Order: sequence, then C-alpha cells, then structure tokens
Amino acid sequence: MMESFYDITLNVHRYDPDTDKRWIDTYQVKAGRIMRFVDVLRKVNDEQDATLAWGSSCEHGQCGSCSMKINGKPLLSCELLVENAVHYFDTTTFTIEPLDVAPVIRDLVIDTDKAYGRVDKVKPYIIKPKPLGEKGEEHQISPEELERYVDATRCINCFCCASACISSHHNFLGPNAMLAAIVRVMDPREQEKQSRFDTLYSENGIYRCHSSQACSFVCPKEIDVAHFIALAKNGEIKPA
Amino acid sequence: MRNYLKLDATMRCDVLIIGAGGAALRCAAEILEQKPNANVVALTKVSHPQKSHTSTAQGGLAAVDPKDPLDSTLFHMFDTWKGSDCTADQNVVKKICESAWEQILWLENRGMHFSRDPQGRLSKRTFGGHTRNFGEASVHRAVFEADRTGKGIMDTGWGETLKRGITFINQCLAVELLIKNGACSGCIVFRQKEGTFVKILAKATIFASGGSGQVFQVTTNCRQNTGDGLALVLQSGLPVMDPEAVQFHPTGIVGPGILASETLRSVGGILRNAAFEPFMVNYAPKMKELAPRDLVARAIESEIREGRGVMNPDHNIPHVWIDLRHLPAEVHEKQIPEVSSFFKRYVNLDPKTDLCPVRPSNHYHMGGIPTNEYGEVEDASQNIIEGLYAIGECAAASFHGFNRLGTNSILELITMGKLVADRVVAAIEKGPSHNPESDGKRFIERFSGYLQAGKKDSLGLIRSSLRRIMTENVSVFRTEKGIEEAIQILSELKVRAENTALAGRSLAMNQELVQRWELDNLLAVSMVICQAALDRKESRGAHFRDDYPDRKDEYNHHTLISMIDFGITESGRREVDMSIFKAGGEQHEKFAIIERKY
Amino acid sequence: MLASNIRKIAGIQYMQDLSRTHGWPYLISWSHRISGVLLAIYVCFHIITLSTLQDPAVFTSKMLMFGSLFPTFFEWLLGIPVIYHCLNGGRLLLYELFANRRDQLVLGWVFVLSLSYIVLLGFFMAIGNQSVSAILFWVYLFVVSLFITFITIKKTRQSHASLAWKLQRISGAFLFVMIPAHMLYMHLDPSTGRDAQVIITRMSSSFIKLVDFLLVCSVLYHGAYGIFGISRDYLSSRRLQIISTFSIAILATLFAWIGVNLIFSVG
Ligand SMILES: Cc1cc2nc3c(=O)[nH]c(=O)nc-3n(C[C@H](O)[C@H](O)[C@H](O)COP(=O)(O)OP(=O)(O)OC[C@H]3O[C@@H](n4cnc5c(N)ncnc54)[C@H](O)[C@@H]3O)c2cc1C
Ligand code: HEM
Ligand code: HEM
Ligand code: SF4
Ligand code: F3S
Ligand code: FES
Repeated sequence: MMESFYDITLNVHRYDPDTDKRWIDTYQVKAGRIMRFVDVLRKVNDEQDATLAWGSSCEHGQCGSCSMKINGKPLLSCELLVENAVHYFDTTTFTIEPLDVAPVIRDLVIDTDKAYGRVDKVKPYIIKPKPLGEKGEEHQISPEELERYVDATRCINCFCCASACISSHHNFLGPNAMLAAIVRVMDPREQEKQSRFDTLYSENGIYRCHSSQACSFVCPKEIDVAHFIALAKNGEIKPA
Repeated sequence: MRNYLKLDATMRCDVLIIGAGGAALRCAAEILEQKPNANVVALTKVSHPQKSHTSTAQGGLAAVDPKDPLDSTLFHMFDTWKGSDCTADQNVVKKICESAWEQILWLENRGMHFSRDPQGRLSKRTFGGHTRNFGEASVHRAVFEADRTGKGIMDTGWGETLKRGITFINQCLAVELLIKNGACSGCIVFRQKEGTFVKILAKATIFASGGSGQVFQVTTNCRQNTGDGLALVLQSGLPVMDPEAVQFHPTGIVGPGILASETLRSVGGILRNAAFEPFMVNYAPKMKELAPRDLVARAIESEIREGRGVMNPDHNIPHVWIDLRHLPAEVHEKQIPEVSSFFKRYVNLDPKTDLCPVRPSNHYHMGGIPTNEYGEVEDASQNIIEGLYAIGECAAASFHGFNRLGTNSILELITMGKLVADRVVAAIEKGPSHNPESDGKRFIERFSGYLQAGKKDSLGLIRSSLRRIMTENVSVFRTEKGIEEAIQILSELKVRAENTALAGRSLAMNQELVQRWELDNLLAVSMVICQAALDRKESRGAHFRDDYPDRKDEYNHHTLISMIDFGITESGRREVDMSIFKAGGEQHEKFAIIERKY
Repeated sequence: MLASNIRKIAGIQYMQDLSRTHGWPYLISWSHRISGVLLAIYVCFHIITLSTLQDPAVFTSKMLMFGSLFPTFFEWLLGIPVIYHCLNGGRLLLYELFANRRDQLVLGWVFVLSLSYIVLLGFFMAIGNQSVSAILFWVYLFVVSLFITFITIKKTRQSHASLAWKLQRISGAFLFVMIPAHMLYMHLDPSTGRDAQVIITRMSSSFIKLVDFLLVCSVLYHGAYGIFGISRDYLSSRRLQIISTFSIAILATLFAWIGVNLIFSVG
C-alpha cells in the first residue's frame, strides 16, 4: 500500500548569471517516502550536480528561505514530503522553478533583497509607541483583542502569497506587505496610524487586491491573508 | 595563480556586526537608539536577517517579573548556576538575570506580540529547571509569543534596526578577521550574490554569528550554523572556550531532527519507551519530564542503548515516543499548534491520535568565543582584544556554563546585546579608531586553494561522514576511544576536502564554494570539540564521559583551546567566576559548588 | 485515454491544475475578470447599436442584421457572463464589505442561482410573448436596487478606501439586480428589446429615462474603473499608466455622452 521509495523526475529551471543563459535540467532521483524536497535537492547536489543552487535555512518551515514553485505551486520546499507531493500532484514528475517575485540570481535563488524592498515600504515596526504604564509596567492587551490580529503576525515573508496573487508583482506591494501594515494598525500600542493608511490605501496597496484568495490558499503558515486585506477594505482594522 | 581573486572594495563604518540574528539585532538597535547617526553594518549569511536561526526559537525566554510574588531574580540566578553544573560565571549570571525584565519591556514596547493572560498582561509558563525557593517547586518564569518567541524577537529587532537606518549586507560571509597587535580593525567579507570580496573597517567589530549545530548529523539548527565565528577566531590564533559543552535537545523529531519544543513536555507530554512505559520517573523522580535537557536526553539515549528504543524504518534511526494523545484539544490547538503540526507535516502523524517519534538532537553550543562580562573578546592569556566583541550563541561569557537552561539563550541575546551596545557606544564615542589595520591576505590563499583543487570527490559526502562520526562518537555519550577515533577520521576528511575539486568555478552565488568554506569551519570546530572533550576526563553538564561518569573538582574551570594547525591544539584554562558566592550575601551558600540533582 | 484527451482539449486539465496550485477562488477571480472585460466590451457595442434608435429605420435594419448574425442562442450565451459576473460580484461585495467569511457557501449559491437564471432566461426566450408593464416592473426592481445600493453606501462609510473604489462597489451593488433584470425584461417579449417603436414608446416615460440614465452611468463608471484597475495591475511604467488612464476616461465619457444623449433625444 505505501511505497518506501519513489523514483521521481525533477525538471529544474536553471539560470547562470555569468553567461546569462537559461535552461532546464532533468534529474532522476530515488527518494525516500518522507524525504522533504530540500533533502531531495541536497541529494542532487551530493550525488549528481553540485552546481545546482537553491536556498534554505531553518528547514522546518519557520524562516521562508526555501520558497519555490513546484509544478506551478509556490510553496516551502522544506515542508513538502515526497510522498505528499506525489499524492497531491498525482505524478512523480516535478517542475521546479524559482519564485517570480524578484529577479533570479542563480537557478532557484532569487534576489530576496528586492522582494523585501516592498515590505520595508510599509514600515514593519511601531512608528510611534504608546508609552508604557505609569509604573513602567507592560501594556494591557486582552487575549481577545490580540486574537483579532495575532494570525497576521505569523507571516514569515516567504513570498509564496505574492507569487500566487492574481495581481502580478509589478505594482502591488504584496499580500505579506499588506499584512505587516495591517498588524500595526490593529496593534493598540501603535499611535501612528495615518501614514500607514497612506500606504495601505495607495495605488500599490489594497486596490491591487481582487480577493482572489490565492494568498490564503498557498500560505504555508495557513494565514487567511485575504481575510485581513478584506478587513482593511471595509475599515474593520481599527483597534477595538 | 588565479588573479581574479582580489579585494574589490573597502568600506568603513563605526560598528560592524557579523551576524543579524537576535543578539546582533538587539545590539544594533540599542547602538542606533543611543547614537542615531552611528554607521552600523550587519552581515548575514542568509538572504535576509529574518531568515536567521533565532527565528526558529519556540518556547520562550526566562525573566523574573518584579510583580511576581512567588518568583525572584535570586531563584533565577540559582537555577542558572545549578543548571550550568557550576561552570557558569556568576558575574555574568547576575548581570543577565537582573536586567532581564527590563529587556522584556523593551521588546514589549517595540511591538513584540507576546502572548497575554486573561488580564491582558504578559502570560508566563514554566520550563525545565525553572524553580522557586532553590529547587522546591516549579515556577512560571518564561514569557513567550505562542510557539514562535524567537520569531517575535527577530521581527522586533529587524523592525527597530530598519527604522533606525542600519545597513544590512545579506547573503555574505565574513571570511577573515583583521587582527593586528591585539586589536581588531574589521573583517574581510565575501559577497555571495556578486562574488566579490570587500574589506570592511570598523571601530568596533561584534561577533554574533550563532551556533555550530551542523557539526552533528541530527540537529535542530539551521543550515547556516556551521560555526563560522569559532573557526574565524581559531584561524586568528585566538582560543575558543568550552567547545566540548554541546547541548542535545532531548526531543528532536526523528528524521530531520526538527525540534519538538520543551513545551510539549511542559504542557504534559509523556515520554514512553518501546514497551510504552513512562520512563522519566526512573531518572528524575521529582521533575520527571521537566528535568533539564541533558538529563532527559541521557535518559532517552539510555533507554535506546539498553534496547528499549523503537527503530524507525524510514530513517533507520532508533527513538522513543512522546505521548500527547491525552491532552485536551484546546491544548493542542492553542498552546502547541505549530509544534504539533510538525509531526503531521514532517512524518505524517497526528499527535492527537498517534504516538510521536522523538530522539535527542543536537541543539545548542554553550561553548564559544571567550569574553568577559562586557562581551569583550579575550585571548588565551585573558587579555582583551581591542575593538572585538562577541555575543549570542557564538560567544561564551559564560552564562550557561556546561548546560543551558531552556529559555536562557534568547534571554542572553537580548540582555548581552544591550550590555555590549552600551560598551560599544562608549568606545566609538572616543573618536576614530586607532586600531592598526591589517591587510587580510589569508582569504586569497584559502579560496584560491578551493578553486584549484583537482580531485573528484563529493563535498556533500565528506560533510555527511563528518556529521555521522561526530554524532556517533562525540555526542550524548563520549568515551576516550570514540573521541580518538573521531579525531583520526576528521584528519582524513580534512585531507580529502583539501583535494576535492569544485564542479563550478564561478564566484557569484556559488553555493558549492560556500559549502567548501563551511566544511573547513566544520572540520575546525569538530576538531576542537573532540580535543577538549578528550581532555576533560570527567562528566559535567552536557559533557558526559562514559569512562568518567562523575564530576570532578579538579575540572572546576573553563577550557580554553587554540589551534596552531589542524589537529594541533593548545589548551589552557579560565577560572569560573564565583563572585556571588564570594560576596557572601544572603543565601550565598546556594552558589557554592553544589550537586546538580533534580 | 479519450477522457484525458477531452480534458486536455477543453482546458479542464489546465483549470484543475490551476485550482490545485492557486485554489478555486483564484480561478473564480480570473473568470470574474474575463467576464467583466467581456461585458465592458459588450456595453460599448450595445450603446452604439442603441444610438441608431434616433433613426428607427436604421435601428430596425441593424436589428434584422443582428437577428441573423447573433442568433438568439448567442444572446442566451451572453447571459452566462452577465449573471456570473453579477452574482460573483455580489459575493465579492459580501466578502469585502460585509465581512462574510462563509465564502464557500456563497460561492455555491452563485453557481446554483446562475444556473437557475440561465435556465429561466432560456425559458422566457423560448416562449417569448409575455406582457409586463414596464413601469411596474422597473419601479419594483428599481426600489430593490436602490435599497441594496443604500446599505452598501452605509457599509462603505467606515472604510478608509478612496471614493473611486467605493463608487465601484456602490455601482456594482446598484447593478446587482438591475442588469439581470434588464436582460430578463428584454426577453419577456422579443419586441421589448428589438422593435424600435416599442422601445421608443417605452423610453418616452421620464421614469424609464431616469432608470436608463442611472443604468448607463453606473455601468460605464463601473466598467471603466474595472478596466483601469486591471491596467494598474500590469502597467508599471508611469507613462503607460497615464496614457491608459486617460484613454479609459475619455472612452467612458464618450460612450456616456452617446448613451445619455440617446436617452434624452428619443421618445
Ligand atoms: C529549534 C530551536 C528552538 C529554540 N528555542 C529556544 C527557546 O525557546 N528559548 C531559548 O532561549 N533559546 C532557544 N533556542 C536557542 C536560540 O534560538 C539560539 O541560541 C539563538 O537564537 C542564537 O542567536 P544568535 O543571535 O546568537 O545567532 P543566530 O540567530 O544564529 O544568528 C546568527 C547570524 O549570523 C549570521 N552569520 C553566521 N555566520 C556568518 C558569517 N560567516 N558571515 C556573516 N554572517 C554570518 C547568520 O546569517 C545569522 O544572521 C532554540 C534553538 C533552536 C534551534
Ligand atoms: C451587475 C452587477 C455587477 C456587480 C455586482 C459587479 C461587481 C463587481 C465587483 C465587486 C468588482 C470588483 C472586482 C475587483 O476588482 O476586485 C467588479 C469588477 C469588474 N466589473 Fe463588475 N459588477 C457588475 C456588473 C458589471 C458590468 C455590467 C460590467 C461591464 C461594464 C462590469 C465590469 C467589470 C470589470 C471590467 C471589472 C474589473 C475586473 C477585475 O478587476 O478583475 N461589471 N465587478
Ligand atoms: C442581449 C440582451 C439585451 C437586450 C436585448 C438589451 C436591450 C436594450 C434596450 C432595448 C435598451 C434601451 C433602453 C430601454 O429599453 O430601457 C437597452 C439599454 C441599455 N442596456 Fe441593454 N440589453 C441587453 C443586455 C444588456 C446588458 C448585458 C447590459 C450590461 C452589461 C446592458 C446595458 C444597457 C444599458 C447601460 C442601457 C442604457 C443605454 C443607454 O442609455 O444608451 N444591456 N438595452
Ligand atoms: S502571508 Fe503566508 S505566504 Fe505570504 S509571505 Fe507570509 S507566510 Fe508567506
Ligand atoms: S492573492 Fe492577491 S488578489 Fe488579494 S486576496 Fe490575496 S492579495
Ligand atoms: S528553510 Fe526555512 S522555511 Fe524552509
């Protein structure tokens, strides 16, 4: 019933910055049932082609360094088990491409600095904090109030949502950048709201979202991103 | 000789931070808060600071809330001292524990999304080794952000530094430290994206380059934790302190080694062996599952060694079970959602209905670059290296001694980050650096060597062999024979590595080149771990010698070890600071050399 | 084999892959976008045809030509994007403005109701000669539309979004009933939609004039803003953005002028 190995085929999109050439390489790999795609790529590096470049860091879905498109779906390759991939895509052939949210540096590695540039624009920090309590004690934020936005704080900026979004990546700051801005509007400790509204409701902000909900669908952290953007659209993001 | 290896540019700044993890960002934020016009540059190996290892810390950070009637800073200091197996430096322990709550408030006021109690205040939970009244009963001392506390710190630190105008150089490697006449003037940096070498000169250089977990086969650490900081220091002729003190987390998920947090045990998870017996009661009758990490790790390892482990057919790795099935759905969904989803995600099991496979996994390096209580790096004779600091996991001040308590590490990041910032600001305010600039030539030789080697081999396989032998012979249980064998193999691997040809010789984003460099660091760090473990003929904290199972007073000191050439080391010692005990205040006898029993 | 070929040819495979990689709502959004663009094109075309009403003979000859060119079947097909876009637009309004998160359920209703409407429309097209009072029909539906518009306006007040964006939602809400009703009405009896004289007589009523006026204004605004939004998604050069915005505004004004001119000059 359950196989312990799969013979899988990888079609990997390659790019060489030295020659500016693009091509596709095919690798056959004998992969264990619960190997992750990062393990598979490492196996390719170790046994077949040491030049294949790809990114990862934590390798357990916490940092968002290993995002790529597998058979068209933007995902974290450290979270995808071979067995699950075979079942999900109903095939043993996988096309692997870099995310399309920033220029490619080599093979599957993209220029994350450029992608992050859009998050930086929404100022992902508290601009003007409310002073601490009288005796210097912490703020009071009820669990219910925190519950309203806590999911939005779980974003790891893997950019899968941005890659999947219907709005393309030309002008939209991106679903994750929207989240970062929304969090600070909903955070009662932030006193500066207006400049956030200015970015949220700019031409590169929520107007570029058409509620296609692909962000929520692909988000590896299972954040309902579309829900938060919709809250921004109808104005329900003010702190309670 | 390939002449395209050259220095492409020289940059100058006030402060250069090697690393952009929790320690680095806390430090940078403080420097910029105190001195807004300071020119601070932070380096990362990863594609963005947020991708640093600190983002994966789950459980929480210990800090005694002054409002808490049950807990006190003294208890925290005691727990840390006892946990360290009497090898922590008490001046550092005192400093960190006393400034802890203030740093929590710093995070709170800069937007970290701490979990809240029903009153809306910071919620707290208990962890292994958190006790009140000197070990009497467990106490709630760790504040947390659900099970992503490290991420909270990183988001906050990144946000604050971004706000205050830091310069990040992402995806780069610090490859050579510039040290001359006992002073540091900066370092040579390899920018991976561009494939260029840059010299960065700074008035103050701060190491915050994180851990070295990749030395071991099963590890919770991220891919970039290859002990670069330690290797760089060793190459500069400086010593590393207590490298043999390596912590193993008792519950790594079998397979990838991913950490199944302490939280699983603190919310009531039970460890069971192959016969489904809860075995912790045999090892720590009082604390059971909540005993400190090294105890739990050894308990599991013993169960496995004595044949009560389960063999995982997919990975061929023996393990025990953690049982979470009896916990209410509420706990699964609210308190441990991310960790329990790990099991689903990485081994296709549901912790609500299935037993989950765990085994000890390398987790934390207590040892590191020796510093004083201000984070200033010291050489083998304990003289300060001018302009060089170290904080975070790469440093050993030493707050953790031979065993770190869960939640004490990220506390160390934010407290030491702040303390060192104070020191650095004072130093750079003195005006331009007078540290003599050194040229930095070693890197050219080194990288040319990598590019010129011509033998067909696989770096990946060499790395695997290194990690396997370190796990088998130098991890939870150690013996003289095992360590000697490991040293032998490491020497062979070093020769193999030196001859291995790279498949691609481009400099830009050449991961293989980076991994080749990292392999050298892994080899160097492994070597000093082995040598120090061999020399320490006793068991202390996380360092457990099967052939010398007891702690011995003659080893009541830190190890200092330098490397003259690969495999040729020179050992020294540093006294353990016992200033709390010596001050003779109330309860000072608790800070004597005491037995570590739970 | 055959089945898999059919799936390939019909693009079902492609759609299935898309839904697997981006989710169903993503496909739904693309359909919404395509149907919106189709409708925008249709409306322009529609207004040009209607503008010939000023000369009933020309209109009749055009209609005759149409009659053969676009058989009734095509008109019926047009009902698909119309009803789909309307109902799905309604769903989006519920999701975005009215914070409805039972989106799956609503999506189900969009399909059920769309199907019913298409069948109903086909049914009326087949039987033809129904006679309904234009005034009664439109008073009734006009009031319903105004009501929906009113609650939408109320809902948009707490939002910080721009007026232009809100107006698109408001116009959408107004059209939500108006457009399906318009299409249905025109097919209750073929003459109500084809016969120049019948149309001109109806349009001489100032109430109908008012309804038509609001209809043409809101449709053109809504469509123009929709196209503008799409262009903003893709055009990143500032110059192209300005050019496209201008062109869209000018076209919309032009068609509005033709449409309004017709309403006040006919009957
Ligand atoms: C899964 C897991 C859970 C944990 N949970 C807890 C917990 O609950 N509580 C707790 O107290 N501790 C916990 N820890 C331990 C804690 O997370 C780490 O000790 C701590 O994050 C280390 O932080 P750091 O700032 O020293 O280094 P890191 O966060 O590792 O940062 C190192 C930085 O240095 C950069 N760098 C490294 N080498 C170079 C180089 N050569 N050139 C340039 N840049 C370089 C890296 O890119 C990175 O930015 C956990 C650890 C793990 C693995
Ligand atoms: C009848 C009721 C209608 C409703 C309820 C409705 C609703 C909506 C809504 C809510 C949107 C926003 C989608 C978005 O961009 O986020 C939209 C988009 C659009 N609508 Fe409509 N609409 C209706 C009729 C029409 C008509 C008659 C036209 C043609 C003129 C039209 C053309 C468009 C276009 C072109 C878009 C842009 C699509 C996109 O951006 O993807 N709509 N509609
Ligand atoms: C195929 C079916 C249709 C028929 C037969 C039809 C017929 C007509 C007729 C006869 C008029 C004249 C006004 C009146 O009688 O009240 C009219 C006006 C109008 N119709 Fe349609 N229509 C159809 C579909 C549509 C659709 C799908 C839309 C919107 C997308 C639409 C939008 C309009 C508008 C905006 C006007 C006002 C035009 C103006 O004032 O110039 N119609 N239609
Ligand atoms: S919202 Fe989700 S998909 Fe998007 S960047 Fe954040 S974690 Fe990734
Ligand atoms: S995918 Fe894009 S369209 Fe909106 S709902 Fe998500 S941002
Ligand atoms: S490597 Fe960190 S999310 Fe995959």
